[in-house]
Amino acid sequence: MFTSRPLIAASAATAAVILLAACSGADGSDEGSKAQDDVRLAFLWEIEGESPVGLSDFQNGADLAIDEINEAGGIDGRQVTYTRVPASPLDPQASTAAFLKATNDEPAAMVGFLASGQAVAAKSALDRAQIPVIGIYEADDAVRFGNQGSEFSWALNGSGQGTSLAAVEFMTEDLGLTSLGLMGTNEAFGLGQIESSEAALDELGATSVGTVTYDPTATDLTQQVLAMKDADGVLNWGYPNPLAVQLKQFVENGLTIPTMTGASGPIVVNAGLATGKAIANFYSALPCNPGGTESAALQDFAAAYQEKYDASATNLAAQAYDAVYVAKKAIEEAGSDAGADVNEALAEISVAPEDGIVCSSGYQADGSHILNHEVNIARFHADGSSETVSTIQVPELPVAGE
Amino acid sequence: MDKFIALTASGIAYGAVLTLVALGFLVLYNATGIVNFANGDLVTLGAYVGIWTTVDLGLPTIPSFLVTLALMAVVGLVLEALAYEPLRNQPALVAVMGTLAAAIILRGVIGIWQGSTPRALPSPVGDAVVHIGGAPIAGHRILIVVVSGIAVCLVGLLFTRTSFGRQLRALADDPTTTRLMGVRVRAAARISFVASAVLAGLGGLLIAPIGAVDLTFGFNLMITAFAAAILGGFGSLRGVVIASFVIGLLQALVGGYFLVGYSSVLGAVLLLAVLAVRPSGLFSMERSRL
Repeated sequence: MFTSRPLIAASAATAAVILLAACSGADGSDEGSKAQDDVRLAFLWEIEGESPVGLSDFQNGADLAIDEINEAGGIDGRQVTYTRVPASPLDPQASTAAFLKATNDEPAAMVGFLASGQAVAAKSALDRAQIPVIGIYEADDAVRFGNQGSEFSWALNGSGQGTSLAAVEFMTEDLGLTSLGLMGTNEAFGLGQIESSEAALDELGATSVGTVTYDPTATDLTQQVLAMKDADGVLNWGYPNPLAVQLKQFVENGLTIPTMTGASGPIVVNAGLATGKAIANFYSALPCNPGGTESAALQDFAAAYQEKYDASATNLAAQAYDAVYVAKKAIEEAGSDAGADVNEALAEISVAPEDGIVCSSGYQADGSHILNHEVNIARFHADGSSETVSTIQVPELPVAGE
Repeated sequence: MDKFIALTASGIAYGAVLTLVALGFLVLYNATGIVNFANGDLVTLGAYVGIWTTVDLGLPTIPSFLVTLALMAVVGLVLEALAYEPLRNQPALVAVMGTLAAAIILRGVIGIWQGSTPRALPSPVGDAVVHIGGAPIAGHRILIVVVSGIAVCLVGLLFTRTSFGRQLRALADDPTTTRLMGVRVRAAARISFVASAVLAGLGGLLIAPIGAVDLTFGFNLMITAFAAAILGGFGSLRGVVIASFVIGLLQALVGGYFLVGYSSVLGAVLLLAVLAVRPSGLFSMERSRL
């Protein structure tokens, strides 16, 4: 019969799913008390428990900033409220849907997208909605304004190119190394960073003793480590797991030369993926290093974070904190909470430490919509502690293609 | 020469772990006729349970490993009860899809339990390094080979010297007749799921200290082990062991000298080449000789 029991059950289940999905907008987001004259923001990230890659660091950092701003009187006397919509960095298409959902609340600006691929995928949606999004990712070439990046998309962390340049500059000029080996994952991130490192090596007159790549899930880097035996130092653009393998295999092979990496460095050390001798000569080029800073503002942030969450502040939390303050400054300068006005202001403003930021000495957009032009070099010690040993200014990038 | 020795040692250690995971495929396939695609996530789970017992609970190495393997046995039983038994009388493809669903659920559960930050499992032999022919070999790689060798011998004894082994060989040879002869198929399936989960868990425990563990930790290992099981003919213990070491050494040596950075594809290339020439696998003649 057409109206069989399984069909009825399936229809009921479908209806239940639709009902749950419809209700999830109200229940699935964190919202402060909302009033008509509040300044509204939206956050685009997942928190721990929502997906296997969800982290609460971004939300915690942003919450801290919102609390401080509201305690100090809000933005132009108006309280700040926010909506958070989970957006997975592993699923750019779903992230676009998350962005569209966040637009329902008509926020003045959004903070989030943790991978440049999310911003690239959402370009058309951003252009239509005309609401700026301050992404917390390192900008690759694709996401630059002029390539596939929207006019309304901004990168807080600086560019991959800038990170490579700063890393090579530190290795060659501060450490005095002349023969560097290049390692990286055999996909977009690693290959892109290797390419910009090679360009930086040429620019600074250093020599590459070899370039080796590896699978992002590699559990054995014997081949790659043996290829680095003649290097004075190594730049490794990889994710935490294979990076830990490399550091351990350096020790096994008696290699004590410095290793430089990017944002994976603190994860390797803080999660204890490599310890002791393996991290005794290990460096990381980062937009922010709350764990080993001499900056009083960043130390204060780390202390407040520790007190509120009973956890050490990570660079991710500090960047989310800064992103909220950048949005605040843009809204103040725009004198409006219309997205298009805030976007125009983002192109013009300079955000300084006295505006509340803690990671950088200043954020100012370049032609590629990249806000940060400063790279901190963190050195780790065998006991797991770190210190910021250098802060390097990197050039601004023009509109891509110009 | 020291490069050759280091690469060979690396290939042998990798082949040893591949053997464990591939044997998990083999045991289950022969008892139930299905391929368990949750094997990779069982490897991951084994590593995380090992971290929990060793790092979080602070148990000494041997009790920690034993508790881990016991818990993996329980997981194997649960997997059989939830993902296989309800689908046992369905076409094999449906049961295989059941293992895929189990894999996704398992990964989600691990993610909620352990979060997304990678974790480390310390090696029982620490940073010990042994020099062989001038090449430094990590003590842990030697441990991997020794422990895997013992495990493979035990599996071999299980197959050749026990009633379960005889039943399994009979099921592999002629499932219908074996059922008609009164062999308890459900019991064989349960034991196979337990053995498969324990072998995968042991693989996870052994490979984890080399690097770090995250949610995708076991996936690549599973794919390569699956290739080894196919190369081995999916019916031969000896074939699977040989195929695992061939893949391990191929990746280490050919990858080390000629294709640095892309060695992980060599197992798949070998698999395609063998399937083109001999679709039943290299050792298919020994199908009923587990």
